[in-house]
Amino acid sequence: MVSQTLLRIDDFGEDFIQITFKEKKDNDPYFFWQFSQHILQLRTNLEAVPGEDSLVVQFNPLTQDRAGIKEEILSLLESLDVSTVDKFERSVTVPICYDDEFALDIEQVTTSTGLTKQEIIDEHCQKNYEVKMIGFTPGFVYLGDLSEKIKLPRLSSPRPFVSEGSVGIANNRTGIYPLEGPAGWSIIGRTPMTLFDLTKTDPFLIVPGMRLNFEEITKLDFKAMLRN
Amino acid sequence: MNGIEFISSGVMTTIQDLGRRHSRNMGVPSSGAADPESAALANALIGKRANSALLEFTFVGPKFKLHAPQRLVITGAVMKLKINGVHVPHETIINADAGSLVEIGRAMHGCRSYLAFSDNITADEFLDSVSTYLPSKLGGFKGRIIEKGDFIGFEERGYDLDQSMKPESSLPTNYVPSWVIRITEGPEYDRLVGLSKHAIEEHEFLIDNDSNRMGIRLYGAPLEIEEHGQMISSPMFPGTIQCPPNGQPIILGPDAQTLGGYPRIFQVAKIDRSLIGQLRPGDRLRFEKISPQEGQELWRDKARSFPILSHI
Repeated sequence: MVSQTLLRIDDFGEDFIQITFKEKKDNDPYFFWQFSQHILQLRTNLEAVPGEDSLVVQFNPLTQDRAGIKEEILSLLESLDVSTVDKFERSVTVPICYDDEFALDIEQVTTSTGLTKQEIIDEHCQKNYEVKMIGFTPGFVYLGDLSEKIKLPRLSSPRPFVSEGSVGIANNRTGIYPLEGPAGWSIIGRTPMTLFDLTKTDPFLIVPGMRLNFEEITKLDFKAMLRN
Repeated sequence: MNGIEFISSGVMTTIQDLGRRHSRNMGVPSSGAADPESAALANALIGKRANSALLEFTFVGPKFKLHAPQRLVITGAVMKLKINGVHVPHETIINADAGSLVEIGRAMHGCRSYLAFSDNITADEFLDSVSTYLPSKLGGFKGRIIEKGDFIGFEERGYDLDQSMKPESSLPTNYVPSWVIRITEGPEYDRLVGLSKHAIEEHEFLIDNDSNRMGIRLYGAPLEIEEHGQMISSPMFPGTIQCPPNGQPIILGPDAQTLGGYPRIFQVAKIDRSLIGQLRPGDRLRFEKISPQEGQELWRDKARSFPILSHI
């Protein structure tokens, strides 16, 4: 169980409470995601959104009192069963094509890291990742940790548009953009796989607590899989 | 069949309600009306629950034929409403006969209007909301914007009448192309330096063309920010103001991403959060920083006159 003494609680705006760990070393994105699930299951009148090192709770300032909500959050923490039974047991393989057509930022990544394109692909593809977090848009998963050798900051100005399935890297994370839209990460490849599928009863293919491997495919494979 | 037959679509017409709840922790944005106050007002005027489905128009409204008698009301940005060629005042309930031709004009100031119907409109539901979220093609009418020739049906069953929230007067709307938006400090406010931190009021921004329901991009003299793209991904909400290292802030809208990695320098105060849905490209904008306590008092005062705001 996570003790309340490890946590720090901050206010912002009229309707937000942010929870973080006092010490960086205690941080665990999976804990924040589980805690958000727990809060939403038991308190239908709150919003709870996890980040990688925080949880933000949104309340209604007209009908709820900030001090009362803080107490509720702490009591909910006590009833949270941080079970690690399933943690990183289930695994999924995601095909990825690193062709230049899709790897929009590969030139920039080779310049910044001093690695060749093949070395970057190897560093990215050969790792077994933990799904640390889900968020940004439906189906976007944060995977880690990325190889130190290809660690880069976010783009200084986000790109207004990338294609669905684009695979990006930023800091110690890699992630897959399930939808076309804006993107602040360096794009190095693309998957033909659908990560958020509304035709399925459970549209979320990948969730936190799973493991993920990338499998390199050719552009021909990519086009064939996209057609299916 | 009872329903609405679209003769023209308008620029961007979608079905919305007050948005999804409890979906952000799975990465699904709230969506819902970009100006929830105006949407809730439309529903309240017609006597429906604040969260009922209605139509959101952007810049220019559609033209449609009604296949059932309806009571209608339009709120938000002023777009001229005509029924069978006769002008109907804004925020006024009107009875229209089956077969009526309804035309909605162009907004001169602000950009979004809401049209509520007495009957419930049919729409796709996802995670307990019919709000359209275009990027994932979910909710609303087949997850997309309304097009010419579309037909939206009315539900057979009656609607839940709720007169309790009916306001005595309307919400004062004063949309001008030059906005002052009140904000409170965000979690990464301290990343701002110099005048950007201490005199944000001095900055004037232009609303960029590259703005949509996900975010309003602001263009102006770059803010000074100590940030190099290395922040840890953190929760974002409609009304969060992010600032990338380039110093050009982005006000997040109803389709805001749930997580993001650029510093959250400010949060739009509750009192002005609905105005995000009215900001239009080319408009000018300034910020006024207030404390969360001031924000809370302003919001409470407004809600005393308009109890419906407790649903937003």
